[in-house]
Amino acid sequence: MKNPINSRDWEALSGYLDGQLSDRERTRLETRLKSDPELHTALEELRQTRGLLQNLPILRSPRNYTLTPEMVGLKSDIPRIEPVLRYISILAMIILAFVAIGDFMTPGLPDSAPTVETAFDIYAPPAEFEQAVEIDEQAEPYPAGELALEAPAAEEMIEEAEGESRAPVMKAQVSTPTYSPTAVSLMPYPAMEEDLSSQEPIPADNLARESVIRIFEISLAIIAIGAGIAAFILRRGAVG
Amino acid sequence: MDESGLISAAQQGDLDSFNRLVLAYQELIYNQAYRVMGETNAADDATQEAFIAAFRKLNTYRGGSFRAWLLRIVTNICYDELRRRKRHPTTQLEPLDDAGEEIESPNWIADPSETPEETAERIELGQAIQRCIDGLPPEFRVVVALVDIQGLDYSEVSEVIGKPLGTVKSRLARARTRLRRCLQGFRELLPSAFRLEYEE
Repeated sequence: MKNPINSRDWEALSGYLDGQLSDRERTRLETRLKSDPELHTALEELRQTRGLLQNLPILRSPRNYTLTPEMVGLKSDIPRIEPVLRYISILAMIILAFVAIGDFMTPGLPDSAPTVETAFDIYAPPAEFEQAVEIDEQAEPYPAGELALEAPAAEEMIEEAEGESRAPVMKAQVSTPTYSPTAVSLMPYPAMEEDLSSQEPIPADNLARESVIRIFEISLAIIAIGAGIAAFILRRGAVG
Repeated sequence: MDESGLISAAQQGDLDSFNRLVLAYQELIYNQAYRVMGETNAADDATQEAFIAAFRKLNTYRGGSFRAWLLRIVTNICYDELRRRKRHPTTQLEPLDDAGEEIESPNWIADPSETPEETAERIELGQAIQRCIDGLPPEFRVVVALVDIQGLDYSEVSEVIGKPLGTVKSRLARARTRLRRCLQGFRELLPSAFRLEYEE
């Protein structure tokens, strides 16, 4: 009469499937398996059970389980100054924007206003003026038709010069070698003096104020860009 | 960088290196947690907790199989959770299956209005096997999952559970025997080759 399969037999069968028995244990079990069909059936059932388990699909993890410094109570490697630099950069940008807008909105010195340097140039008699007059006197007179065509243009130029600041226009006209003699004759040198004397002198305070604003704006831009770049480099260095 | 290099860097506090190890092992750890806990949500929590614990205890790792070391951590976390549940049992009114759908009755196997065959037909084979695994004591679940599902050898399993090889063999044999008996109730779901053998 065969013994029923006990727990030791099941353990031997399980170990046999995994190749975990010693040579002696394996030989003894194989001998029994040949003579005991019930034990053989138990082995096959156990083999099939193991096969079902081994064929179970491997589940994909539903998400990544990577850790953040906060999760493990680590302080960030990014230096503490990094956020300060970022805020400085942002603040400088905002102030710069306000200053630039305010500067733009405030009626200050016109773009065409002469600076001290250009004003000096205007008050000094231009050398080209006399030279140009001499050249024009030696030149042949223009045909009547051409003069007639040129005249309206010259008048328009005079009107423009009167409507706007005259200094640059006059200087340009005078210094241009191909300038029309008609235009030159319309703008004699004494007239220039008289005309310029009617222009208001530029207060030195305005010039100083404008210079200060420009320096302030440039400084702000440098701070904004510099702090931003420094913060970026610090962050990159900490992350990388 | 190889695994030992990543471990060394992580031991110095380099979280990026540790996260590369996490990405390499997260599937293994999640699967082990799922097979022991039997629920996706619990497996998710256990996996995350295991990696946090692993990073904090990284200085206690003294070489050997890093995989076994991680599996030991997740196994202990699963044990703790199962013990906590035993102390504070909660009954889900509408438990969810793996697909997130409601299981009609948690006591499906004892439903008197349904024959075991009808019940078996309703449940897919994979779920049936997981139900059988869930019916095992946790110590048996861990071993059968490690050997038959994760493919570890006995010595590595011994390292994971911190027990001698004889204990691994014994638990595995008992787990397989119980599963064999449980799966006989699902022979309709089994592939034909398996079914014929069971019907003999």
